[in-house]
Amino acid sequence: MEGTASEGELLRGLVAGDSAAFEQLVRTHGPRMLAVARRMLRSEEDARDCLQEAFMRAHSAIEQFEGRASLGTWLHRIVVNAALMKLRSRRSKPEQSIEDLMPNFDADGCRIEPMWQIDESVETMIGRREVRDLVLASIGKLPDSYRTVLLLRDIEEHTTEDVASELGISAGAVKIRLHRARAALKKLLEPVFEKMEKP
Amino acid sequence: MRLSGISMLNCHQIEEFIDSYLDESLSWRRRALFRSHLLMCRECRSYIGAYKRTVALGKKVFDDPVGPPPDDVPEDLVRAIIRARDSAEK
Repeated sequence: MEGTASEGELLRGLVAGDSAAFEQLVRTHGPRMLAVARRMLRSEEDARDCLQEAFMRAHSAIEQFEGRASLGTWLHRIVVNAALMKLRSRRSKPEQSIEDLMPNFDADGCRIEPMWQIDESVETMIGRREVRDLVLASIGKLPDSYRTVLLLRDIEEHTTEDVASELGISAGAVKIRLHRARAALKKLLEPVFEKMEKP
Repeated sequence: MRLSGISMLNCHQIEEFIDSYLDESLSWRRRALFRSHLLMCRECRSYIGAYKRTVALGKKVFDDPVGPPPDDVPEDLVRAIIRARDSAEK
């Protein structure tokens, strides 16, 4: 296979077992897949293993690819599933508590939180390098069980029921983890809100 | 609870309903209770504003078109993947 093949040609090459087609698949789709593996797993070694496993699964399942979604979407699902498998295999490690990042209430149940009035749009905020870096770093600080739910629900947009089945937990547990993950992330982003507050 | 009332919820009680409130899946009764709490509680209004902003920032950070390009796959990893595939073929 010479040059860059269209998706149809690429697929035909892959089904025929053409090694050049496989290499093109890795070079074309690998970068995005590696980015997904990195943000889900945080460990470079695990992300590399995950990418390799994802491509091996894609290779063995290519004949079952029905073309209902694009090749990129299909590969994306494969790498997310490979990352989830990896997370499951390391779940036995104890996680850091996020209690310190939860909202505070007084004895009467009244919220004790700093207040902000921010006029800047989310789009403007995220356009700033320091904000984007802090958001990424803060998501990275969340323990695996919370970060995974946050990424699957808010970024990958899986349904609560799908996440529950992917992680082998109840839908209620997914909702609780998502809320706690978002609340913890909010606490970690407070320095940004403080900085952006209207004078 | 900042204002007393038979059916008023306090800040702690509304905490568990925040996501359902935001995705509009609360029953009308709970939604009404939630909204009446928000009307009277500026701490919760501020908190929910920052919470919504957090969720939006989390979503945007990965799909921002001016964001960094996807990472390159290191050449040694590309080679390792190709070797693994070739071994599986044999």
